[in-house]
Amino acid sequence: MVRTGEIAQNVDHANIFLNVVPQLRALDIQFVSLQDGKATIKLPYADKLIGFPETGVLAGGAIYTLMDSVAGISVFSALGQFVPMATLDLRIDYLKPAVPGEDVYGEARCYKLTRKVAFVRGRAHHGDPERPIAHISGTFFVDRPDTAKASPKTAKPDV
Amino acid sequence: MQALDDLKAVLAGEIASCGFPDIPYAQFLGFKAQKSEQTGELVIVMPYSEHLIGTPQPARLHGGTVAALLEFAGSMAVTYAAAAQQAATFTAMPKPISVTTEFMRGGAPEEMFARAEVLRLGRRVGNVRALAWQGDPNKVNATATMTFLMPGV
Repeated sequence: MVRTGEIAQNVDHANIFLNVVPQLRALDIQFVSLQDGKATIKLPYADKLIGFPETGVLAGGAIYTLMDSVAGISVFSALGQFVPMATLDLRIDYLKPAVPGEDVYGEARCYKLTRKVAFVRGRAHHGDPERPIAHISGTFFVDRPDTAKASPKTAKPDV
Repeated sequence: MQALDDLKAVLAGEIASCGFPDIPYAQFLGFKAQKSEQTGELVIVMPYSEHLIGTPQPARLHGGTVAALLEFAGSMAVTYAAAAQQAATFTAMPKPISVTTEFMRGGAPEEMFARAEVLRLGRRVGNVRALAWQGDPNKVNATATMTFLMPGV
């Protein structure tokens, strides 16, 4: 079994994940980084994703998909392996509209992992994480073997 | 707004369904509006397409596309309600402030439906709840609770 932390630094796994998911390919979502338990991916601006035609602002749903996906990657990273996983609930706050023409970065961290549930926070931004355009908070069911132990450390959420 | 006229025609039974040619993201996901035969309310349909998949094996719809369907159904419901109430002054689509989704069943690789209820429509804020299902309307796949900022205030 791969130990937690090994895959966390292994960008190949994140890239494989992004490449085999049809919806992420359709959105052209790209891997950016995975370090210290924080995952970052990028959604390039595209006309087909406009939700507000009068302004060219991206649809909330596209940002939501970006954030749900990066949240999932942060959970895989915290687990150190791919296991079946399902979003239980996820809240997104749209702090301000995405700027038309600009790419959107999604970053997330799994700040608490129990045997069956992962807790994630994250934010979306245009390159400066301190100027977020959206925040998310979500819980994920992770179907780990019953022998798996809860994560001993609880990381302080910084996003 | 073309979408509003089309939604009116759908709910009046003048046309069976409509798409959203003015809204690129709605086209990207293939959204269509139709009228529920049982309840007469507006239903948004997301036809199945391979690019909606978020988990390859077993194939499941991406939670983001399900959430997008719920948000769109909520957005159309509150837009339609606001336009009906303040026809003359209605200017733009309400903006979502927050969306909270709960996922209860994975989305099978088939079409999905969503309906939304406007719980409160104020001058500044609209509160909406949406449900998504496939096949059996009593088997809910996901729900969303949304808060919208109304335009023009």
